[in-house]
Amino acid sequence: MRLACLTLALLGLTASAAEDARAIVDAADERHRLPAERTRSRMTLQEKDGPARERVMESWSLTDKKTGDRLRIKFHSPADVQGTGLLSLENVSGGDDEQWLYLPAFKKTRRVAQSELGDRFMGTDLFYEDMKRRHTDDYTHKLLPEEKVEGQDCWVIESTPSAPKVVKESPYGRSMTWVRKDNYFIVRVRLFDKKLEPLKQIDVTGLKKVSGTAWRADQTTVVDVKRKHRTLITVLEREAKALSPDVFTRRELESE
Amino acid sequence: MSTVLERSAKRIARWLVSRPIQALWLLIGVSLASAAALPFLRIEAGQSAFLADDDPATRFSEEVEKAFVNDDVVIVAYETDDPFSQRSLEEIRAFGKQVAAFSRPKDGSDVSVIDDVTSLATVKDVRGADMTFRSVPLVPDEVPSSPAELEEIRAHAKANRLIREGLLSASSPRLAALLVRLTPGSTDVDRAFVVERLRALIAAQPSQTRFYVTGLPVASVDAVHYMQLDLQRFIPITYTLLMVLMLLFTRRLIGVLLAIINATVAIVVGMAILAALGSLTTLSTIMPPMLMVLSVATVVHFLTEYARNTHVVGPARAAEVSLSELMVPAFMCELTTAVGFLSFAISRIPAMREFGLAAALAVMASLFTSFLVLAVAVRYFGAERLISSQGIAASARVERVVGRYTDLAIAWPKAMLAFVGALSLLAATGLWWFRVDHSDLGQFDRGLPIRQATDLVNAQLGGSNELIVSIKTPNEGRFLEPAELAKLEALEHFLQTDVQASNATSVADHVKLMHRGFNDDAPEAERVPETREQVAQLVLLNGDDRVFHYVDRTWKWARVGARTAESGSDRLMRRFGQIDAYLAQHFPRSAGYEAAVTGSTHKGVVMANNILDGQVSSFLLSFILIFIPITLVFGSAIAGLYTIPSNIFPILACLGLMGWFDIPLDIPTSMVASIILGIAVDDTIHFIQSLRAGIAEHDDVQRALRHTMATKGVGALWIALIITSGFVALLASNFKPTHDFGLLTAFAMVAGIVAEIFLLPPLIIVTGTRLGVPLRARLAPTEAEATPVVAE
Repeated sequence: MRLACLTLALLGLTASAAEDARAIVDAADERHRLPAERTRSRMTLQEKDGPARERVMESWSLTDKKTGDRLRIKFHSPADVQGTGLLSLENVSGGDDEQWLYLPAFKKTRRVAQSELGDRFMGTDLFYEDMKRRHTDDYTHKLLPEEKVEGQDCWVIESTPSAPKVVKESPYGRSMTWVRKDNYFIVRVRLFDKKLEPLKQIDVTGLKKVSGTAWRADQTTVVDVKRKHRTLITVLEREAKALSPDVFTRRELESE
Repeated sequence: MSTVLERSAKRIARWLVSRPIQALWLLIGVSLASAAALPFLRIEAGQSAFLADDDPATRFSEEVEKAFVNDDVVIVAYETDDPFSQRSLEEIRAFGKQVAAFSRPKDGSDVSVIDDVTSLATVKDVRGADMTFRSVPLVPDEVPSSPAELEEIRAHAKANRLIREGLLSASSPRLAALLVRLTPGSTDVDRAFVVERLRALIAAQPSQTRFYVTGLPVASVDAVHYMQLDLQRFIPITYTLLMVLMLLFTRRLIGVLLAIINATVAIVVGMAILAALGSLTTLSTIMPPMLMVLSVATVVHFLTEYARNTHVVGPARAAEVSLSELMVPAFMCELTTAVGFLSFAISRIPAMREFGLAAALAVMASLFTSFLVLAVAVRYFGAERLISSQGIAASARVERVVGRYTDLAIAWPKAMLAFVGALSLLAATGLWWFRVDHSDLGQFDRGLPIRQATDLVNAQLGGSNELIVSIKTPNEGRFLEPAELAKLEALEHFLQTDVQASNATSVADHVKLMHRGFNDDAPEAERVPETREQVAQLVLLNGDDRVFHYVDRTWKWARVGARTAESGSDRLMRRFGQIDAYLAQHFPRSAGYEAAVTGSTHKGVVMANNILDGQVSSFLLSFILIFIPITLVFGSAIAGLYTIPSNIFPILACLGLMGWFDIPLDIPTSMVASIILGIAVDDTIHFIQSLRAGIAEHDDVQRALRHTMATKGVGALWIALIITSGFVALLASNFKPTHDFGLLTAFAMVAGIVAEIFLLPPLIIVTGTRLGVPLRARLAPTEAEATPVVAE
């Protein structure tokens, strides 16, 4: 699923064989990329000691360096948001990305200008920042002492925003990433706010090799440390197959 | 019982007089140990000390705070030429950023104490145009400089009700607010840190902008500050007044010094007891002046007896006899005072319990240290060095006046009673206007910055107190239903009109703004959408966590907030009553709602009411606890009964005064009744005991009355004067309730003397009572021994 992948890959941190932090980050960028992907997943939103709320959604993603990444999400449940869709188109020419939201209850599509990257994505524990592909050049990376996660040896990389635009706009002041040494997959991320206080932790489980060197996780858990809120994303179906660019149009977005 | 007490008193007096060096070492040891404990005295002024441990309002408020957001908000009002000028917006943005970055060291690392800062420079606005929906900051990252763009920002702010009512003044275009919300679970230390840093930051701001800081967190922090200032004022004022009075009374510097040393030891020991049992609160700030006057009163009693006994039994035995004679009545008096305070120990309020217990123990400890001080003093100084015969002579002149008055009281007792009856009626009439009211923000003196800030925010920015309504339902997603949102809207309207609150806000407002934005900012679209699906889909657009200040993430629990300029508990309680009635009607339990008023303001009012209710129980208990032992020690129910009217009168007079002069019954003033009872009864004990001894000796009530009035009446006047001076010091308080408390207790002391002189003697004459003393002819030898309890 694209969203689960984005949660990790979009953090701008993937692994390479090199031991240098930047080299790990740079070289790994290609390793887990898939040209196109469709997933159906269940998103469970859970308050601490509170009831869980579930959403089922389908997402389509296309990775293309020339035209830019594309993503479409469609909600299937609960009933009151059924058919709601989001279309996200990366702008490779340097302008703002485009995001369109279709609300079937109004039968209207609106362009969503989420200028605040620290805003939450559709009530989840993910920020709009997490939905963007990050560029490793925008950060400085530092290798920390290695640690084990779930018995697996991992590099631990600390990344700090360095590009002025990112420093200004990102809700994060620092991140720590645990990269498995055997397959270069990110299995844990800790995110800190601008005051460098813990904000979120992301853990993935159920790792599967899906194609070539690309791996995916079946479960992603995002915990908002401050709100004591958790978002669990479980992949129900996954397909790595070619997708037509027509999938990523407003007409498709508005199809119910 | 009395003979046992007397025998014990004689033994203790003999020991004290024969071993002054041991007494001195004991005194030094107790004083030094107490002084060592003083640095551990905590100062507490937050609500927590005044909230019952098991209070349901507190628990519910904490539950709501946990589910939504902390309502500990510091309101920073600022006045500038134009809040929408580039300079002001940039300044406020920089100021807000610095405030948001406040963090303090906790457990080895710096922890943020600010949840969020809302100002014109940070608040978000929802906008829609050309098929674009935007949730953007009202002011862009780069504050524009062109007048047209700044005007556009102003127009957007005014078009958004949440911004308009939450941050702008309806009456002054120069005034705006910045709201600083503290992190959930903030402690008094966090609040103190934030307020101190905030004020330091304000002091460094450009002079074009004037800042005013208020809100409950500021009130609790400032209360600590002014409490310390109060103490710094009370103690020297009381010392000065006592020195003047003691100089007038003794005409001897050594006599004055004795009283001052005794008062100082009493404060040090008393404060050490408070440090061990609790903390310094607005209640316990009255302890130092009170302990000072009580300990000086003991010195006055002793010196009177010492001077008299020097002539009667000779200088060699005068000290021991005086200490022995004083010990039992002094013990009884301090015991009744302590019992008055001890009655607070039954309170559910921690601060009251601690105060009651500490004050009771401190009063008894002051008696103990007073006798040590006196024992050491008499070792080195004879009566003539401690009190001048001129001082006594001055008192003797008063004695002659009192004697003439006694003749009058004996001749015209009914007229005297009628006079006191008329005064009582006058006081009782005042009860018609008597009211109960407590205000955390209104307690400060009008000249203080926090009070001025509060008054400004109340008058021009919608109010400084937050009203919170919680509405819980069992159904997930219930507040996605348009009908439910409409009910929240109606509740907001009710709060703004009937309850006269301002800035009423609920999740309905956020949904309406999103609906307007989604419909290209069409003003008519600022309404609750028609279907649940529309609401559910619109809220997916929301990326701002502030919506969840008003609804939980399951949409089954809503919180409605508003601000009110009301701060008095009485009026707020009426407002809460109105809201409760509305909630019962529109959000009934039968329909699955659990709706209630909550929040810090509500908690504060509940706290005040708990305390005030507790005072009634405390007073009744102190009444029983004081009069039962008096009756037992006198060995006569009649004698016990006659102590009641002259002690009820000052209480009635006080309550009447409160009605006449619109002094509300609040936390400090609610203690007046119990304290008056504990202190004023002391003179009555001395009076009744002397009278009973006189009746037993002369078998003549009128002769006994003349003798008692001549000997005890003058002493009572001096004591009343000294105790009044201690409470007069409280008039210098920065807190209106403490000031009122001082005024009332000082007044009560005067009223107590009035009752002692104008009520008790004529009452005894009119009723012809012998105060339980049997006729001498019928008196059996064993009964005669048991009759006088307290030796004159």
